[in-house]
Amino acid sequence: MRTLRLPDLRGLVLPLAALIAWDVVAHQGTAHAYVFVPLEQVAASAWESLQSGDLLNGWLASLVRTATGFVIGAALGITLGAVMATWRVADMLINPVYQALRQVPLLGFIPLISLWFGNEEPSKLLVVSLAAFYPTVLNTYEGLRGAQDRHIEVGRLFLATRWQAFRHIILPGALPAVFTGLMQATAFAWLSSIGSELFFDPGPGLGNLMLNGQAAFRMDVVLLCVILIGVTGYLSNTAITLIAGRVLRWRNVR
Amino acid sequence: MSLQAARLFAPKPAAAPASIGMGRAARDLPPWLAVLSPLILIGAWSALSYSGLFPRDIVVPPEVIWQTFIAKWANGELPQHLGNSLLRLTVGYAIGAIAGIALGTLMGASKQAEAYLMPSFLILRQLPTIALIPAFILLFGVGETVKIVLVAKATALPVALGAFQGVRNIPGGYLDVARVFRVGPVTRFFRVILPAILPALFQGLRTALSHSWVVLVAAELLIADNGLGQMMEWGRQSFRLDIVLLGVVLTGVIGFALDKGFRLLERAFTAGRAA
Amino acid sequence: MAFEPAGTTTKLAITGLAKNYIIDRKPLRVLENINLEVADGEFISVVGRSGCGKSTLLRLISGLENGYSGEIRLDGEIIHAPSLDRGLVFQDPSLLPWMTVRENVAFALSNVRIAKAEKTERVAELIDLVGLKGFETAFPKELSGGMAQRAAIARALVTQPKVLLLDEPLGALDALTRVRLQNELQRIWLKHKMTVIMVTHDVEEAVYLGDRVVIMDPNPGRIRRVVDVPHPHPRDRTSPALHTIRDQVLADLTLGKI
Repeated sequence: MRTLRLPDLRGLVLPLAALIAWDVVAHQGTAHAYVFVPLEQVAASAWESLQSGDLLNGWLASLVRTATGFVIGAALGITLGAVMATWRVADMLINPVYQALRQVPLLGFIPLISLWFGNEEPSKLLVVSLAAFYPTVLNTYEGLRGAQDRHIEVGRLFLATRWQAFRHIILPGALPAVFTGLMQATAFAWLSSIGSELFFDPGPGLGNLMLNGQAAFRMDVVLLCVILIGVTGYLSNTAITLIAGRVLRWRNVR
Repeated sequence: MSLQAARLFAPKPAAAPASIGMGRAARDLPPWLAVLSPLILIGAWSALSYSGLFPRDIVVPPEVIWQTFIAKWANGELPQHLGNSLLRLTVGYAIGAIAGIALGTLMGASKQAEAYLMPSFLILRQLPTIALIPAFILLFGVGETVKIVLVAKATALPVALGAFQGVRNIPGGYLDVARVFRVGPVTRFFRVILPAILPALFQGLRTALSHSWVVLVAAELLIADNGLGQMMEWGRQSFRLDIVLLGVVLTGVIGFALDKGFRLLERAFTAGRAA
Repeated sequence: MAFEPAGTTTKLAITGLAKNYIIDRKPLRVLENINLEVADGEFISVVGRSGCGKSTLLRLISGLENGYSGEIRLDGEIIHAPSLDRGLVFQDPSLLPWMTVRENVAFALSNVRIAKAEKTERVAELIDLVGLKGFETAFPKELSGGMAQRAAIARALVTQPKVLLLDEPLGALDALTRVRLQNELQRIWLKHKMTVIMVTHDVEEAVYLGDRVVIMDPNPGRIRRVVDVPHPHPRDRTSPALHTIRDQVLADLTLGKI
């Protein structure tokens, strides 16, 4: 007899309890009303923001910046990683510089970028591009260099030319690592897109909406933005994981 | 030496065709390169700043940064900033680590606990700490508390993950052995369980350390009246690039030192462990 | 599809073969004074303890390794590099994980100048020959150990090599699969009668399949003895005559100095 598999609802207990507790506190006193906003208010302000288009515009602005920065950073990162993996000279020249710069977290560069490039949209895009750049360089490099000996030998057995070896052995073998880099880049790009809005001058974006909400003591707006940030992060991660799953469907995941 | 190992050292073939690999004989770059890398960077930086391509106050020469460093250290500003930052880091990290260990161990040890807690944990993981700064400001104000809470949050999650994985991956055999020898619960914890979970736990603790250092500096950029981040922000607002660069360098150096120091600690604690 | 017709001409002639490895700047003698003549269409088994250099010998014949003294001649020509007239199957099938079975086998024909249609036909024939029909679009991760090894054999044979080299091909498989694949190997070989040199640690397998069994000693690797197995194929695994030969070989192997 087949037993019915219900989804594990126990996981919902804690979040539900938290929401209920939140709502109870919200309806208590007005002392911290601006912090513990009733859930209806969050919903109401969500509806309001959607209608006015604020939420959508902000979300789109952050998303567009993320996508643009991701493409730029990932493309450059893959290129540099490939160059370093292929030419030893480039490797010896660039690697040390890269390793030294890696030690500084990206956010540490923000004041510098601010002074050099200003506080507007270009600086924010630069930050996002850098965030996508870092993980892709390293992972592409490792992936291309990590070709397995036995696979190379197979190539030698069948008289593979350098191009054939690259196209059929080294490149496919590197793809898992490249995708790992892309997945990290996706997460970092989204995160730094929001982050850049917090650190540079005001402009369109979800982070900016959040800051305004905070300045106006509108916790409902802030919460809304936080939720949206989390959901978008989750969805983009899922999307790239699915793409990777399809491209790398030959992978033996043991 | 075994034949298998010997094969790795075979002399180059007489009529060797062009290697089709990525020149993997050169895979491992010489170790002195790693030591040299910051020096190369400084050298290149110096050359760039003196080249005249950029104004001196845009690309500040290393010597100026060094002088600023000396000056700020001598007059006590820098020690105070660093002290404040590191103090916040320590307090927040300690709180977060304890919370994380508790949460992770609980989830790892009990499938029930995992069922109840894991989804919430995963949801929290989706909310980047930086993005929570405005929310936390509303909740906790702009004093010391908010920064410590931010550091604690940044720490707790990776640590919990590490503890969880550590507990989950205890080889079942270990606990069986303990039971066979009727080892008491306290002894069992300290001699069997704790050593088994240490590697994964340490990894989580180390990740948490770098992460929370970044979060702290970021928070200080936005909300503080002292600390390394705040020093950089002040430098930015006064167009003092040398201060900003000093802050950047120190952030990197301290982050690096924290990570390396932690790895040493890790090695000391897990010495003699089979890979 | 025609392989070279079987005959009594010498296919592979190894004369005075010796090889050193350099370890810590000291030479390590891996093979010494190897002399062997393999007739066209013969099946040679090579047995010996670990460290006797049998894998190295195979790799030298395949051309993957080089730098030896002495001569290895295939049809009179000296060997010094890999070539499509010698196929090699490793103990690890080493199929390219991102290619399907069909693509893996076809990869061997990357540098063979024949029409595309003929390539397709050959690949299909070989896949059928090794019993993998129906699995053309499977990825290596979906194959069992035995199936993967069959695919590796198909890949080695699709170039129609003059000599097939097998380096402990069945070593990683369980006993039942091994027996089954031994029969398969014999069937394939009987059908095409190419020259085969198979290295194995399984003496029973060596005696069952080989026309001659080469027994090697380690430190340095050299040929101790070559035992004839003058029984017609296909053979009866349970035949007492085979068992006698097997026992002889085993005794020889275990009696040698350490």
